[in-house]
Amino acid sequence: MRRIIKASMEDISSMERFQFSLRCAVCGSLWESQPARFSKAGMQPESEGKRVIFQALYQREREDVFERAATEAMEYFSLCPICKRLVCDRCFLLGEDIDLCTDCAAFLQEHGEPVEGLSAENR
Amino acid sequence: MRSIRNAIHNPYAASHSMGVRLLLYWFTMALLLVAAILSILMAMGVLSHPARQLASALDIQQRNTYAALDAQMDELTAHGVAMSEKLGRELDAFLAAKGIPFDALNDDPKTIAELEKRLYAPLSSTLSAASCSGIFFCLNVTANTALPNADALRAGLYLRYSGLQPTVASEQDVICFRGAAEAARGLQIQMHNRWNPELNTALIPGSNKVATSQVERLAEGSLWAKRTELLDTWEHVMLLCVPILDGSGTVRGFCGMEISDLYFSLSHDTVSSSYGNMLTLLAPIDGDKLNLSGTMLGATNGSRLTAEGTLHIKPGKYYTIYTDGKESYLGRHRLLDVVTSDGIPLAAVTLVTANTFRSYERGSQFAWFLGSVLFLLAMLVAATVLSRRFVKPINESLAAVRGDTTEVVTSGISEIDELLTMIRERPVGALPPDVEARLRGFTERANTLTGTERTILQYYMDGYTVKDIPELARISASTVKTHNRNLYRKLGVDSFDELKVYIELFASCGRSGELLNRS
Ligand SMILES: [Zn+2]
Ligand SMILES: [Zn+2]
Repeated sequence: MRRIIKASMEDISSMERFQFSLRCAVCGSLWESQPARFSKAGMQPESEGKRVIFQALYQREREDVFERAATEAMEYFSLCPICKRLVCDRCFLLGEDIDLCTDCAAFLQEHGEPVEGLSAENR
Repeated sequence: MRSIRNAIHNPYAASHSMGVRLLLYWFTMALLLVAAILSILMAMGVLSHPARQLASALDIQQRNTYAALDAQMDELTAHGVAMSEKLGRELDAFLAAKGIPFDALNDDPKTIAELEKRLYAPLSSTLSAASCSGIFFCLNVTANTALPNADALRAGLYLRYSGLQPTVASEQDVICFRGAAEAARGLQIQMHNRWNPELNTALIPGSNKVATSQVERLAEGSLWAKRTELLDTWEHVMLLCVPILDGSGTVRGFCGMEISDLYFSLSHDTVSSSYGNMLTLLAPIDGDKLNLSGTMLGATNGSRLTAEGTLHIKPGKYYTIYTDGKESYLGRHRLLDVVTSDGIPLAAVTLVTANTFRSYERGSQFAWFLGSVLFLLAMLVAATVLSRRFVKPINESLAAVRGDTTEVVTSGISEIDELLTMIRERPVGALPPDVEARLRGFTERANTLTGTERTILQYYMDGYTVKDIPELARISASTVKTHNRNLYRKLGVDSFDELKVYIELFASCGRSGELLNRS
């Protein structure tokens, strides 16, 4: 699952901060991870050597944030077992036999309750 | 097999309740305690009281002894007085017929012999009537006043039984111990081997007093001479001396009866008892001293008592102790209304040998002790057997429950049997009924789960936790949360921990498969 999410996430980072996004395959809504500031943001490398170090740091911190973003995304995205797409909680239905996306549910004429809706009810 | 056999042989093999068994057990314990206390008391000699038993036995025997001796003394005195009166009359008649004064008899052996022949009749008749071994009279005259000891010598007749068999005294041979030879010949009486013509009154203690002092009544003047050697023989006797009065009331001599050692011992046999032979004594008691040399001894078989020495008297709680330092005797004494010539009162005494009694006492204590110890041992064995019996069926039943044996075992204890039956009637590995019901309900509820819920439950059963589910089921964490809520609600558990308990319960019964098998 983590692997699938990581493969689907888009990098929307800048030089100042790291951030990633994931789009629901059904409704197209964009989810953005918590942005994380680059530790050396706003600082200019004084030398070529420093610049190399800054680049290495940037890559390392980006990797860390990428992993955290994947973990974060796992909170909200499920993989539809039918169409194998990542969908948000609003578009993912809990069915009697199987959980599936609203598209597939409509196509298969399956009934189910959306995760988000149920959660809201119980809250 | 065994249960079938049991059922055939003992179809009503009743289980006794644990209560009854405990009661029996405690009853035995109580008996055990009693036995222990008894044996301690026995060992200390508290319970068996031979001393008290001896006291009552002595009391009875002493009463008999006293009554017998008292009666004998009274009877002899009465006979003595009657005889004295007869002799006095005969003497008066004889002297009157002869026309001589009393003193004229001195130095006249022929007349003395004649008088003795005449006085034989009352003497002889009294001898056969009274309980005595000999009889005598003597007068204050002597056939030869020229003899050096003429003062002590008195003319008289003394008859004795030759061989003594006290039961038939009247048929005994009577022999002449003292008396004029002519008189004896005339009366055809055999002579004693220590025969003498006259009595030496110096050898009869107190006789001088009887023969001289003036008295109003004969009974008052009479006296028991203390036990002494009979004149010049080796025999010991006690003599009753009664004064003889003539018509004017002058004392002319004395008469009386003899009780010899042999006669006394033959007429007072020992009385056997559990405590040893009881002896009868007629003894002078002076304060706390019993003078054996003055004592008439009844039969002494079974003791080493002899008529020698002195016994010191120590009163005790149950009996009086008489001891000469070496040998001790236990008994009773009571003074008779008789005083001997030396002023010491005579007493009826009943004795048993202390050693004999002590050995009886030890024997009786030992018997009691042995008895209680045996009882104690028997009770111990009973207690052991009972408690083994009590524990054995329980152990066997427990073994059966543990599955050490496939046999059906009855413990014989109703409570345990009930429990065993309950355990036995459930399938192997069965759980208490309410737990079973809960598991069944859980299984039923598990059938209402959705596909994903079942998948998640399977993950949990495989040992995964909530955190693992998004990755495994490829669903969002929120979806997992929602599923969990439904899962808990449907299965009736409040938490993941509770769910885990059920899962482990199913696993431990090997019934996990039941959970997700959709029927
Ligand atoms: Zn959507
Ligand atoms: Zn789908």
